[in-house]
Amino acid sequence: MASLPGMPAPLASVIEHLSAMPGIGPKTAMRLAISMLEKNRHDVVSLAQSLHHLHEQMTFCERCGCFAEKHRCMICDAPSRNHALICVVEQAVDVLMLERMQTFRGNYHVLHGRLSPIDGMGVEQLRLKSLDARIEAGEVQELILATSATVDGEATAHFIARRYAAVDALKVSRIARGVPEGGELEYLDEYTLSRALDQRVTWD
Amino acid sequence: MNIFQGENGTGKTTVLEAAYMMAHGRSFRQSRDPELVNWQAKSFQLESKWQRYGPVYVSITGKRGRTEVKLQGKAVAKRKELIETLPVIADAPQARRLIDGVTGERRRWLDQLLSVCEPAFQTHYTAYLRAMMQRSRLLRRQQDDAQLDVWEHQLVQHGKIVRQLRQQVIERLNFHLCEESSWLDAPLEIHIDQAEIKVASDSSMMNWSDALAYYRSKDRKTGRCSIGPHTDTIRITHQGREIRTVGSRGQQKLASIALRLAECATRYGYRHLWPLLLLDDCMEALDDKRRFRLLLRLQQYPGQILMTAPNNLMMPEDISATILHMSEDCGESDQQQRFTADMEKAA
Repeated sequence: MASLPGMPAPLASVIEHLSAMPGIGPKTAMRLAISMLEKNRHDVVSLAQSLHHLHEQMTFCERCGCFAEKHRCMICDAPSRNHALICVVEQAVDVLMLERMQTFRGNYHVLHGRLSPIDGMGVEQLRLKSLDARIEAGEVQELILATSATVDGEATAHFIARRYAAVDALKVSRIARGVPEGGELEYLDEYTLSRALDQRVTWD
Repeated sequence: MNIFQGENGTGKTTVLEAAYMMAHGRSFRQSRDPELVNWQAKSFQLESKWQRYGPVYVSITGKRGRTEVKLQGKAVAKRKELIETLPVIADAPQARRLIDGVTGERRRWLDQLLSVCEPAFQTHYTAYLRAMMQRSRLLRRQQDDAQLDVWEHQLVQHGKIVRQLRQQVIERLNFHLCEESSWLDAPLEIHIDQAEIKVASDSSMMNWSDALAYYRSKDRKTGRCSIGPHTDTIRITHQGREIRTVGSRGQQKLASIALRLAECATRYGYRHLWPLLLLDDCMEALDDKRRFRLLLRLQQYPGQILMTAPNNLMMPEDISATILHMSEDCGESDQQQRFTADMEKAA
């Protein structure tokens, strides 16, 4: 698509850059590029600047590994949050998802991956040393393992649970699995339903 | 019971193959790329209407080695969807060799039955295979034991459920095989054997996690996992001895049909629909007495049966069946034959 005869090089370049993004095919890339061409100059320059700033100004929090603008993220710096409660997630984007619910008041720890030897991810590749340091400092009371509910996610959670099993006064928990809020049973797969039944809670 | 009779090459098996294809999206032949298109044509088209609870329409178009399946007019993305909708079980010489094949054939057959009957099975078996792959890769890299423990734990967690579900379905199959013993020469039984290792000190059996740890160095060299559900062997026995080795051709043929009938009954137990049973050349290698016993048994089957038989089959008077004679002329003159398979509704 990008190599259509007669296409000017600047347009072809934008299309090729866009189509390299996940979820964007050559047709969508062309539509986006043309819509940028049709927009007013100021808006497009502003978009280009935002893209430029993305790498200049964004970094990862050195404590928890979330997205941050400085060395520390807003969550780690917030005095109102419970620093004794840490939710362990696989990727920084998971923090954004969890923050959407606005009810969790604890801190996070991003592993930047999960155990998967076939993808070259071992213990060394995960951000575990900084978690060790946080736990050794003695501030943490509970670790919530919120890795994904796949075999790899489960193995990662199990590994972390075992790693800190001997730490005194540290509670390790795993997020629950089952019926989503507002979800109708008829649309759930059999496995999720059976998991939900296994992990049912008593009405009190 | 519908019997197709005709000379060789008149297309008896092709009718069965078409019915199987409607429910599985592929042929029962074991070859990877069976030639389904008529040698004079470039494509094929199968259309069918099944009577289940209501009408079910299936159409299959095959062109240049690709097949497109439509269920109720909508394209089917996964073959599993089709298999769950239309229960069809086939026993044919070209199909899976349950009795005289290698043990992996029987394991795959059992797993296929389980994935239809127990929805959780597929999830656990896929997870088990994934954990096994991760462990093998880790072993190759000579990583530390703490990481291996984690993957082995996953392996055992999912593998235990796989074994438990397999055991459950085998118990059901054995129950139904016991019911079949009245027309067989000797009762049949299915056994599943698990590789176990004895602890050197007190000759008790090692638990699974310990056994996996014990085998690490061997598995590192071979690059595969030595024990687990993927290595379990399934035996079909006849008075305690494996029918694969002691049974005559006729006995193996009867055992194979009995196994299919038990499979149908097991599937009925889970899904409450009697599968359509396809039997290709089931009279082969049987004497008159056994042919009669088999026909009597098949007559009692609550679902529908499509079977092929040689021209010289003498039908006893007390067996009622629809016999369809096939000849070469009809096969060639009417290439777009239509066979309507009405599957009997479950009682």
